[in-house]
Formats: sequence, structure tokens, C-alpha cells
Amino acid sequence: MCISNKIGPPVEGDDFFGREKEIRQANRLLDGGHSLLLSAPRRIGKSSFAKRLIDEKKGQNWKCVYIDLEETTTEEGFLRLVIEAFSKNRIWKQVVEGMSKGLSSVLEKIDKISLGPVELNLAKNEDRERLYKNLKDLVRHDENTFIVVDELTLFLSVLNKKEDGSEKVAFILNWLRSLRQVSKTKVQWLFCGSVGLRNFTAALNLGYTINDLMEFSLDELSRDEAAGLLLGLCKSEDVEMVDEVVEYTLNRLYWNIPYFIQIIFSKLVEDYDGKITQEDVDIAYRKLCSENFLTTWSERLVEYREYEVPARQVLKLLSVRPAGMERESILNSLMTGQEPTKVGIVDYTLSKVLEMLENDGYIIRKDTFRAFRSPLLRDYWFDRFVQ
Amino acid sequence: MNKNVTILHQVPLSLDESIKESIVAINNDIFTSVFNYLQKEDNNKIAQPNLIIGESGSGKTTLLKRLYFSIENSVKHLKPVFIDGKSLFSTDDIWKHYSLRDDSIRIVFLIDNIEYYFERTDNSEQYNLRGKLNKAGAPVLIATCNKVLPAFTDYGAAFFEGFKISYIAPLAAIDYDLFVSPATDKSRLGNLMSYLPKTPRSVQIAAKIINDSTDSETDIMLLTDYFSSYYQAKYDGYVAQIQRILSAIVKAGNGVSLQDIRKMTGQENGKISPYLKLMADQKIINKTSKTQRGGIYTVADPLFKLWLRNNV
Repeated sequence: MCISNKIGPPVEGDDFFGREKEIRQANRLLDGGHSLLLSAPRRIGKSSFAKRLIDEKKGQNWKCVYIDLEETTTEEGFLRLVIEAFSKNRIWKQVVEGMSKGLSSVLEKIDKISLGPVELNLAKNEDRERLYKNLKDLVRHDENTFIVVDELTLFLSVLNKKEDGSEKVAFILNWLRSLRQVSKTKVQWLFCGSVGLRNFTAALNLGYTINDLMEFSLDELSRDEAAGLLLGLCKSEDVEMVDEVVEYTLNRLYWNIPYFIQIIFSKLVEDYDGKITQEDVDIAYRKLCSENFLTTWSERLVEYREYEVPARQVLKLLSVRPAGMERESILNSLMTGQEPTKVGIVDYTLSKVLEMLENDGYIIRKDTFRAFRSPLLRDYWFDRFVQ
Repeated sequence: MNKNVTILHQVPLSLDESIKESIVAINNDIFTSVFNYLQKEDNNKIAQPNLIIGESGSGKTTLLKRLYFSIENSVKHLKPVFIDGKSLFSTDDIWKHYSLRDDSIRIVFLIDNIEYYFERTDNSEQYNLRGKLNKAGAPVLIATCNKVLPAFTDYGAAFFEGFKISYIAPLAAIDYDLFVSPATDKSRLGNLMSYLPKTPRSVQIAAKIINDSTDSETDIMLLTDYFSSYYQAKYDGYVAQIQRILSAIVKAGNGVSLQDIRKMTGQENGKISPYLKLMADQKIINKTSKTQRGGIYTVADPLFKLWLRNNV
């Protein structure tokens, strides 16, 4: 087997490494008729995992659909992606005798959408409701089907900011729920994304629309898998790395998610001269802290909107403290110079921010302490925003 | 004993005056937590400094004095020493109060408004204090402060994470009853309190105004009168551009955007934006973000806003 070092995009086929336990577990749940919500921090490999699951299910003769909502920001765009993906994978029913005129005409429209631009009538509420209902009725539920929807929360949070956004978000979530609620359906779903769908729906009082989904989490690779990935990458690039240095690298990274292993390996390969030493690992590590590989961790804080500034304050504080800080100390730092009466608001904001940062993998909680989840990210943050 | 109390300033209770538990029923949780800690503190260990944060008039001094009397009356192994922060210019000014040399009794420094000490001394002076306190059997430090200072939270500061900090919460409307007679008109009291910080001192000021006034309209008039010289001095202390922007914000009633201010003053963004930032940093105005770009500006202090409306 040869693993190519793809940094950033989801990996497929032989490039996917490990996660065997999680794949088995997810398979069991899907076979048991559960739809899943994959919640994991960014860059942990959710999309790669979802694609691997698709491969598994295809191998078991399931119909599989992958819809990446990162590509769209509108309701119409969402519908087009769904319609096209369902058409391509033959999820829609076929026209049969006795089918209502409404359904037949929607099917005709669906065929045309796959071939080119067709207007979707969403201007009036009743038209929209009819279209969604017809689409729901046209989905086949009698065949084993696995549908992955990636970045749903990202799409919904963009949509939510638009005119009538909250109504549209509620509509889509309820529609997706209704699809999962069809009696004896053989269609199972996996929703994944780096922004927490539970937090998002709870904030809009729409938690009920996803309460049937089974939570499925993904964390770092096991130590053996992480070592296996690193050695696999070495083999594919014909690089020599002794076990001691592999251990040293993984200890240095501490949080062994595939992305961090891939980026440090890419740096090690750049200066490879026949042998990798612990010193090379240190140099590669320092390079990662000073270069742009980790900027998305900073850029994506924009999604926190009004919580972006306090989130940055918290991360800045924690980047100075490798051992972490107690919640109380973080609160006191945020209160510095503030009117004492604001302690209630600041305390509430801190709770929200800590939860978001934990969910997104920036920080980890140990008892009352919070610290950066990854020393690499912490050192990057310190270099970039403190030093 | 000086019993002259103005409406603007309530002289803190003097040390020889007894404090009735019933009239200081607020901040009990902080009192209990600190007092319990002091009772249990082992004389032979390094003590945990405590800091009580509260805005002016929130009852910090009263709380500290209540601690003083409670320790003196019921904790034999502790000796409280009350120090006014205004008298502190160095660590020695604190340490000169530590004259006791009886190993069985531990000193408790109760320092009111310790911000004066921290604002007047440098880090080395503060390290000196920390060194003295961080010894088994050394005095216990309990202090009050009007806000969290960088001296308590900056990574390089001597007292970084050195205090256990408690915050005095603002009063809820239901707490006002503790400070006024049952006959006080609650609706008028609520109206006046909407302009004032939610502290015991404010409630007492509002109650006095209601007592002196005949109706709610006069209440507001008296309230602005009482604080007029303070706000006049505050306003006069600002540079002309800040005064101009304040006029624009106040005229609009429910807040204005940068674009509105630009229209009202006839000035360019470049002349307004830096001042808006300065005013927000100094908490003269609040900025409420409606969207990612821009925001709505309002005067932060509601009473100052009222004064500006009447006087500018």
C-alpha cells in the first residue's frame, strides 16, 4: 500500500489510514437503522472518514450519496445539490402508472435540472411547501441507501443570516427530519461538519429537528494508528525514520490528528538528507509554528461572530500557559479593567466561548483547567499573536 | 464621630460603630465564604489572599468592616487590622501595621480600595509584598478593589493569579427593599434606579430624592440637579470633537450609526472613527454591533445621557 501525503482535502482509497474501530462502530449503527451526527473538531478527518464509510457501504451494495454543502449559500443552491446528487445516484422514484400529475411534473423537472438550469419556484410559501413535499414523496425508501451531508451547519448558519433565513433553516431541518421519519425507511444519513449542529439548532429552538440522530464522535488517531500513518508516509516517500524518532514526533505533536501528522511530515521531507533526527523534527515543528499551515484555525474564528473577540482573548491567554488555566482565572483576566457589574455577562460569554472552543478542538478541559488541545496550535498561537 | 452624610457620599461606617447584621444583609455569600475560610485557616500555612471586587457604592467597605468586627468578636486566633488603601504608597506602608510577634495569633490585613496601592507601586514593590505574604504564619490579606487590575491578571505581574477573586453582584430590584422604608413609592424608585448603578448607595440616594420630591417628574429633575456639577465637569473635560460627537449621539435618541454621525456633524469618517473608538475604550459610549460591519452608538451612562439631553 502506498499513502500519498495530501494535506487539506479529504483523502480517499489507499490514502485513508486507520480508524478501523470507528468504521466498524459506524457500520454497526448504520446497519441497525440509525442516522448519525458526526461531531468532531476541524481537521480531524471527518470528510475523509465519511468518504471511507461510503466506500464500505458501496462494497455492501448500498446506494451512496455525498453532498457537500460548503459549495452553496442559498436555499435554491441546496435544493439543486440535493436533486442532482439524488438523480446521479438513482435515489428518486421513476414515473409509474398512477403517479400523481404533481409528482410526475416534479420528476420531469428533476431530469431537466440534471441537464441544465431550470427555475425552482420558491417565491411563495405554498409553492415551496409543495415542492419539498413532492421531493420527499419521490425519494425511494425501499433500498439500502447511505446519504452523507457535509458542512450542513456551515450552510445553515450562512442561510440563517439572509432574509427570512431562520424560516428557511427551520424548513430545511424539518424537511430532512421528515425524510428520516418515513416508516420502514432503508435510507440512513450521516451529517458532519466542524461547527456543532447541536449548538446551532439549540440556539434557534430547533433542537427537536435532530433529536433522532445518534451522536458519533471522532478524535485523534490511536497511538498505533498515528505511528502507522507516519511510517506509511515515510514508506511512500522512501524516507527513513527510526521508531525512536517516530515516537518523538508523535510526542511533540501530542494531539495526533492526521492533518498534523501530514503537515509535519511534509516539512520533514522538504529538508530530508537521508535520515530524520529529533533535531529535524524540532526544526520542522518550529517551521509549522511560523508558517501558514495553521492560519485557518485563526480565520475560522470569524464564524464565532460576537464571540470571536472573547474567543481570541481566551486563546491568547492559554497560549501563554502551556499547563492551562483554571476557568476562574480566565474569567478574572477577561474582567480586567471592566466594570465589576459586567461579571454576569462576561461569565456567560466565557461559558459559551469555552464550549465552542472545546467543540471545535482548540482547547481541552481537564477538571477545572482549560488548555490548548494541541501544543503545535498553542505554539503557533503564541508565535503569531503574543510574541 | 462625623455624622455628616451628603446625598452623594455616604461616609463608610467607622470602626467603633457596631454593624447590625440586619442592615447589611447583602453580599452574604462573599462574607460567609471569606469568614469561613478565615476561621479554618491553619496558622502555620501560607494564606490565600482574597480580593473582593465591586463598583463604588456596592458595599465593599461595609463588607470589610463587617469582617473586621466578626473576626474581632469571634475568632480568637486572628487579629484584624483595617487599612484604608488611600494611605498606601509602598509595601512598607502595609507592613508597618504588622507589629504583632505572638505566634499564636495571626494578623488579617483588611485593605479597603487596594487599587491605590497597586496603582502607586511598581512590580518589584509588589513582589516584595508577595514575598512577605508567602510565608507560613504571615498575615492574611483580604482586600477590596473597584475593578480587576492588570496587576492581578498579567502573566508577568507579581500577583498574577495570586488572589481568590469574588465579585459583588449588582442589586436586583427585589433587593431595593432592604434599603428603603416600606412606604417608599416602588415605581418612582424603579424609575430613578434605571438611571443609577444598581448599588446600595444608589438606592439610598434615590430614596432620599423621593422623600424630598413630590412626583416622578421632580424626582428626575432633582436627580440631574444632584449630579449636574459632576457631569458638567466631566463634559468640560472632553476635547471639542468628543463634545461634538456626544451632541450628535444624544440628539438621535436611540443611538446612531457612524453614517448618521457623519451626516449630523458634516465630518468625514476619518475625523470621527478614531474618536468613537477612544470614547468606546473609555466607556463613554457603547457600541452595539448589529452586523459585522458598523454598529449603533449610545451614551453608556444613562444619567449622563439624560444630563446631555437637558444641557447640551
